[in-house]
Amino acid sequence: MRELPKKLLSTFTPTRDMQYVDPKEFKKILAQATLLPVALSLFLSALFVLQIYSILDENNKVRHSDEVLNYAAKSLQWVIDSETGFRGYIITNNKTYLEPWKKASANFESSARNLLNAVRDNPMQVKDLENIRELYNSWLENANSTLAYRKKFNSTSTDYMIKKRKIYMDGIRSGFDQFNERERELRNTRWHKAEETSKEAILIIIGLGVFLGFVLSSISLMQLRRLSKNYTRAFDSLSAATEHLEETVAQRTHELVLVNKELEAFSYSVSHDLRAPLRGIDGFSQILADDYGDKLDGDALKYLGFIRSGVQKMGILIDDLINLSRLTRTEFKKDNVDLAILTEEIMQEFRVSEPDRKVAFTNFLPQKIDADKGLLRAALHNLISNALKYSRKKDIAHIELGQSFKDGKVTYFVRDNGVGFDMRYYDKLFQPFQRLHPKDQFDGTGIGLATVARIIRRHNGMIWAESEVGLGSTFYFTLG
Amino acid sequence: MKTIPYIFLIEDNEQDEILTIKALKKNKVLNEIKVARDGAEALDILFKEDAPQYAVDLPQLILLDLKLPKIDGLEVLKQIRCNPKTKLIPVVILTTSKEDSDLVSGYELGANSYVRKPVDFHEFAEAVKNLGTYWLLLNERAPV
Ligand SMILES: Nc1ncnc2c1ncn2[C@@H]1O[C@H](COP(=O)(O)OP(=O)(O)O)[C@@H](O)[C@H]1O
Ligand SMILES: [Mg+2]
Repeated sequence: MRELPKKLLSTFTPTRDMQYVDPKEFKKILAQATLLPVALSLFLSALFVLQIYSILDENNKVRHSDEVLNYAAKSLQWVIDSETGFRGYIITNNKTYLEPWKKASANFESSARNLLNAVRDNPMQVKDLENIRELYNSWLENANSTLAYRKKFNSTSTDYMIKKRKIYMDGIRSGFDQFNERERELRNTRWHKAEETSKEAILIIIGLGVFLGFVLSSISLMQLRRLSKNYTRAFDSLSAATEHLEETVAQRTHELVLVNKELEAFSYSVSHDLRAPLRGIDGFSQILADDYGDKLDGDALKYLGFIRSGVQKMGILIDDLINLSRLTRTEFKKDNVDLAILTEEIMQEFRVSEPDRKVAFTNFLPQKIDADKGLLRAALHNLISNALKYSRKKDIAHIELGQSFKDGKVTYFVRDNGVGFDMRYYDKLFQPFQRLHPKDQFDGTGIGLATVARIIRRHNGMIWAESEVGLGSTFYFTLG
Repeated sequence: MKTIPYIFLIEDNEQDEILTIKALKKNKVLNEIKVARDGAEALDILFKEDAPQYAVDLPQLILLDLKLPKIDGLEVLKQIRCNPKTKLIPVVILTTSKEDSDLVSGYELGANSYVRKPVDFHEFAEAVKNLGTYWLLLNERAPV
């Protein structure tokens, strides 16, 4: 019976088909599905930062142009201030006007230097600015010589070199106009560029994001499809195998039923055919003894007696064998069994068959348990019969039935104060036809405990025993 | 003159036949004993009016072995119980079998009693004695 499940399983050997879903590959896919999006979002963020930087850069350039324009306006203002101061002096001949002029011209110098510094990467602007400075310097020279002339000749004429100064001034103005015009243009292009860059950045990030998202989801989709296909295939083959397994189980069950029937037929014919000749031997020896006894001497009669006792023992043996085989063949049905009543019935049988025995019988077995009544009765009958048999030499046999709890399980026991057995031969105890006591002291076939063990095993229980020679034995069992 | 009603022993094993007859004789059963060796022969004897040997009367008791050649004991019992002529004859099953299923189907088919042939001849003789007392002496034969 133990081999059967293995046999069943052997027909269900997993084939290569079963490895549709490689766990390694699954892990890889899982890693891809998590790492890829993380990597892509990192990449997108980096790109985003870069774009932001370039936008900021363009904006800085625009601001720089604004600054340049600002400086230019200031420089122009200083030029105008110088001119206004100088003109004030020329007209009024009041020297107080010369003070702002001097200040303005110094301021122009530093302002122009700043401006030059700001546009030094633009050669056109630098050139224009140099031009303006030259013109201003020329204007300053002119103004200084006018001042010197006035001092020298003490003249108050206003138009000395005035034309020339006007030309310088106009040159400066138009120079600044050109400078400003160019710078404004530059600023506009930069502004446009910044705008373009922002738009581009947004477009690139959105576009790339959408594109990468799309690629990512198609990769995931593909992998999922492949996985699901593999799973479907694995499932299909598994259910096919299950079907096959069911078929196999049905087949095996059928075979088992057949074998069982065969076994039944076999033991049936054993019980008939083995016993029939024995009956003949016994019957005719008896008839010989009865009808021809006067023609036979004592020895012959004694031998006839031997024949008969041998035959009868063999009859008992055959019966025991058949009982044993039948025990495991009959249908197993659990019922609510009243142990107290069952054991009392068994004891009553023994009281009738052995009325001379003095037995102190204590029964502490519980009221109801779940078991196959017929089988349990046979088991208890065997255990009690042994307890009685092997305590036969005691004046008063003590037989105790009881239960104890161990690891949350009930253990039942049958205890006697009989001759006991040698624990050295314990492994023979539950083997069929194995006996630990000689026949001339205790008769028996050695099938009883094998039967008990089978019954307990059918209940998924365990059986074991403890004994001490001369003191008695205890047989323990559990019921599943 | 009316013949003593006979006992019909249906038994294939010759030794068992001798032992059964011996046991009956030992218990002072004086009825004639007729024997059939298999189920087919038994049915012939019971139901064939023109059978030469045993057409006279019906048996008072049938001792039926279950394991018979050709037609087995249970089938014979079934036919006996189906036929109005024979259905009231007491039938005792004599068998080696201890199988519960035999016993149950035997009773289901209307066997009146069931005797297991033990190995011990003494026991067997005792069982036959009880059987003879009960079915031949105590039981009035039911009118046909
Ligand atoms: N209660 C007992 N006390 C001592 N020995 C026992 C007891 N029960 C069983 N045994 C030993 O175990 C052997 C096997 O028991 P069992 O299978 O019942 O066979 P049997 O009783 O027919 O000899 C017995 O021959 C006996 O030696
Ligand atoms: Mg025993």
